[in-house]
Amino acid sequence: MKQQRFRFKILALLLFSLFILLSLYGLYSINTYGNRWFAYARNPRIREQKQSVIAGDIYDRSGVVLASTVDGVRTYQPSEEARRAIVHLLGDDEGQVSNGVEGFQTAYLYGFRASLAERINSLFSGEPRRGDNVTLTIDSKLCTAITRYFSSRSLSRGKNGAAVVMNYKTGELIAMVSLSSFDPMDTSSVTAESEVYWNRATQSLYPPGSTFKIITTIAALDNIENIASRQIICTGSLEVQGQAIRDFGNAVHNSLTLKNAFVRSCNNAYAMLALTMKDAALRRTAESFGFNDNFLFRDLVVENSAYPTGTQNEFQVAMSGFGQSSIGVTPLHMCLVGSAIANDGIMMEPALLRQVTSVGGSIRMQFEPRVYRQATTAANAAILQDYMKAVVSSGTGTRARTAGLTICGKTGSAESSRNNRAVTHGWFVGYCANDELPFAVAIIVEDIADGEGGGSTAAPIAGDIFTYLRDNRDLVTQ
Amino acid sequence: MPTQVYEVLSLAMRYVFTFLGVMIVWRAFSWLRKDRRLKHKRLRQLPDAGTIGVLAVEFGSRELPEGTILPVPHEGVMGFLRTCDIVVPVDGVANEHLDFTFTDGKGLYVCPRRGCPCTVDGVEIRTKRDSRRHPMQHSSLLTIGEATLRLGVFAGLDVQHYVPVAEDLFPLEQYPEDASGPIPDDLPPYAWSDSEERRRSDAD
Amino acid sequence: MQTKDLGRPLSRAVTFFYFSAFMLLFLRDFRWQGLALAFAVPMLNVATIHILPKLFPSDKLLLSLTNFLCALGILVLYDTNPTYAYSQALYYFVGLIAMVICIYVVRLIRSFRMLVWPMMAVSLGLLVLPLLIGQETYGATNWFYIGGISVQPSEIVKLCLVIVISRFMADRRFLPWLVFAVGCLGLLMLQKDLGTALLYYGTTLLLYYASSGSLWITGLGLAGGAGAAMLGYHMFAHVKRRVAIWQNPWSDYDNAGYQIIHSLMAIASGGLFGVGLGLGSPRTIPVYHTDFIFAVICEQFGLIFGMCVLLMYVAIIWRGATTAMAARTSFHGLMAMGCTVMLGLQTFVIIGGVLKLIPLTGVTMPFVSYGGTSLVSSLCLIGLLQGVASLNEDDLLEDTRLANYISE
Repeated sequence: MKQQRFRFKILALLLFSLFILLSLYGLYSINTYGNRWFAYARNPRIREQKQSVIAGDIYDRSGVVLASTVDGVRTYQPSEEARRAIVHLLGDDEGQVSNGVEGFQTAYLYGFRASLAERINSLFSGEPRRGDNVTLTIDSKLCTAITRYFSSRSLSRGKNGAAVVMNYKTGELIAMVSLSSFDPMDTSSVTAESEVYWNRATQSLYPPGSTFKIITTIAALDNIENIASRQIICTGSLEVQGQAIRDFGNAVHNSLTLKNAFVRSCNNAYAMLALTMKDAALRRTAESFGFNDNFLFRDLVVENSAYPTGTQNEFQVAMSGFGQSSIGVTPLHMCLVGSAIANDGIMMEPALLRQVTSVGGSIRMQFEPRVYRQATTAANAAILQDYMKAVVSSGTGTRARTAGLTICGKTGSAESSRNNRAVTHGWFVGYCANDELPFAVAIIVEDIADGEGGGSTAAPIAGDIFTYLRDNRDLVTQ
Repeated sequence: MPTQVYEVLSLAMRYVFTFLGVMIVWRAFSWLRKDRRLKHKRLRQLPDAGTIGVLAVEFGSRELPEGTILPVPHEGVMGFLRTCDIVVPVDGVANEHLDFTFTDGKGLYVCPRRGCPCTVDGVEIRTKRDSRRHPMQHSSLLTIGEATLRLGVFAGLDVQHYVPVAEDLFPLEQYPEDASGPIPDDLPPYAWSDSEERRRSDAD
Repeated sequence: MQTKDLGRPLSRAVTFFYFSAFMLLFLRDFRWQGLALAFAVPMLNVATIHILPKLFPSDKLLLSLTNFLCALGILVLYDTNPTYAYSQALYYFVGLIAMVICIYVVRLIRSFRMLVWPMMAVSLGLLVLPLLIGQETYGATNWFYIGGISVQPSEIVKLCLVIVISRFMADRRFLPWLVFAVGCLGLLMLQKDLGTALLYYGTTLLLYYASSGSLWITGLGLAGGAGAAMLGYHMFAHVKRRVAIWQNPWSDYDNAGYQIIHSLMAIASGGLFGVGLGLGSPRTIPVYHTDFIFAVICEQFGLIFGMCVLLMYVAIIWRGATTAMAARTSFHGLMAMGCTVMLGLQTFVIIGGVLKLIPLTGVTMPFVSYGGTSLVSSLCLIGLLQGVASLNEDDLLEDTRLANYISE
């Protein structure tokens, strides 16, 4: 009996711990994923609320009305070009674009957050209920301009792609564009399963190509002694497991320092670095930059970036060194990587909401910068800043140069296959080092012409964007 | 009622409901806590609660000297280990020697574990059948290993018959001749059930 | 007594809760049934709390909590589908009577030695019936119609299982309960009622541990169970599907993941304080009246209240465990603990399924879910527990009487 009583106590404690586990799990998962579950497009409660509540307006950072409800119809900006530029970010009324502001912020836009006092107010005033007004951190003019930059250059005209611009000190997104696009007010020409609904900036995983060398360099600085002062030999072709790794344009660089290897984007050197420090070290650094992390940003739903977690063979490791194995990354995340370098190793959480105000004018939510993670040390970041500056001043990224600004960056040409056809994407990741313009960009141009690279396709667009930012300084930094 | 008015009313009431839910849980747990304290207090006042009698050691060991009184619960395990309900630290007693069960109107059944024999009033008990045939009665003698223990059953409990022995230890003249009938309310108490009496007789 | 002072505010809070909640729902559409329930449900609560202690020493805390949970079921059902609520209220009344009967049975029949053998035969017979004349729902053939009432025998057998295995375990007889438990589990497997099989298995294993203390054999049983689970996973297609849904419900929204996604959306929509009673869209949650009733509660009353409901179950478990520990005989202790473990595991399994902590198994939420047999059997389990508690109290009172007699 005595022993049995003791064991009853153990059983009771076992059951208690099960229930504690249950409640902790419940609280944790609702706290972490609750907003996402609620904002899921198929939530019938949202559809119901749409019957009785008028959705709030959406403004950009300078007060331009991006979306409003006029006579019960959701209307967007008057210019079709502007509508097309911002539709992926904004979402559409029918929920075709997943996790745009229109969908993801339903809790605000349709007044789910209204307080009891406000409900009583609207009851006595007799007016139909209105949702909250949302102001974004976006500059809509820049978004429109970016689509023009894409079409104004022959190498990127008509190509699909994406561009992300963010303030690397605060994490505010200034522009996010995905091409190709569609007009939310006239979807008749779009087929249901069309690619145009896809927000490439947040939902598409691309191989990062040479832009991944930023991370490989950081990993090398951390894991290989004195690597910055050693010489690396490039013979033009490196045999790994019977397969040859060649450089862009079959270049032979002979003896290089790490800086030169970075500036000239030498694949052989980076394959050797990856093989020297092994897969685990490279993966650790990649993960410190947010690869394989479950992104749970406040205002954005971003596809998780992937660095292979299984064992890779030698060839795959070598390819990982310059971002060509099965690494996948979104343009938004690449922009975060660039901004972490620019911000001395600290990666800010990207944000889209600047302010939310109720109909009565009270402020429901105000943007505050939040750190996402410490990606690397300030010392490493300083070295990379120097290297990236050299890329734009004398390396592969010279076409991103902008008068009056110090631009740093890294170009990339990522190869992937689509429909059994090898395609090359042009990348540019960079930032402006000037203190008064703390902006980072990531640009990808899909399926570029043979023989072209990121330096000739994506870098010029970055140059255009920096020019715009320079000329509209007050607008974007206010 | 108009939907809008109902909505506002219901939205206001949800705070009340949440408050009531929290209050009910809080009350329930404070009740549980207080009950626990109350139960401890009650059990402290009733040292004999849950026991049906005692086993007096007639022959023991240095750890278990003669005259030691071991309270006997309704059911349990007897053995050498300290986790047993009745601890008999004597040579020849296994870690868990025997299980015992008290049945009202029958007596205390002892059922030895395998390879751990014992005797009740001189009869060896080896199997379940043996134990069912020879329940221990008031003042029955149990030998387990090298120990000899005598059972005393508290008043108010019903056993088949009493074996009149050791009158100096168990003042039997206080009991009615035949205890198998209905228990009278004014039944005299068994001396061992009172701790003060117990101490006094120990001193004797 | 001190408990009286604590009991009154608790029972008053329960009464007030249900009166205001049903009145609120009455104000929504002015149906007389709402008004009737607003008086009837609190009345039943008050009546049980006042009448039962006069018949035998009873545990008022346990009564209040079970009353609260049962009435919560009726409330939520009335909000979502009134016809369910009326029959649930009826079964609640029947269940209370069954509970009182159970209490008397435990008080009057102390040993159950004579009863266990016929009980075993009847249980196995009951479990065979659905295989012969049963109906299939959600992949399991675990109930049948008799005289217009649907009966789920596994719910009734639950009681017998607890009594039978605790009787034999208390007598240290290994084989009979093992054969019985394995027989029940086998029949449940044939019915494909895997959730209930899991409950039976868990309760038997934990009770075995409590009675014997042998970690080796308990571990062996656990390993055997895990092996059987693996076997079931590979044998039954619907088990495989459930596990896949649990791992990633979002991958197949329209078919497989539909239920759990709607449950999670409902809980997330409720927020901390809920959307308000009678508002929201609880009826869009699939099987809102049985499996997912916890999601409805969370949507309507909020996460805080949902956690409070969980804590009420914890309080019931606590009470059950103390009752088991205070029991004078090993049989009564095991029986009380068996009821507690059964209720606790069942609650954990279903709420864990609703919150996506574990794969969803089709068991009901004790006291709350719609289902006559389930409600009655849960109340009977509480009846057995109450019976043991009243025996404990009786014994303690008798000891007090004797002690007072001596000190005079």
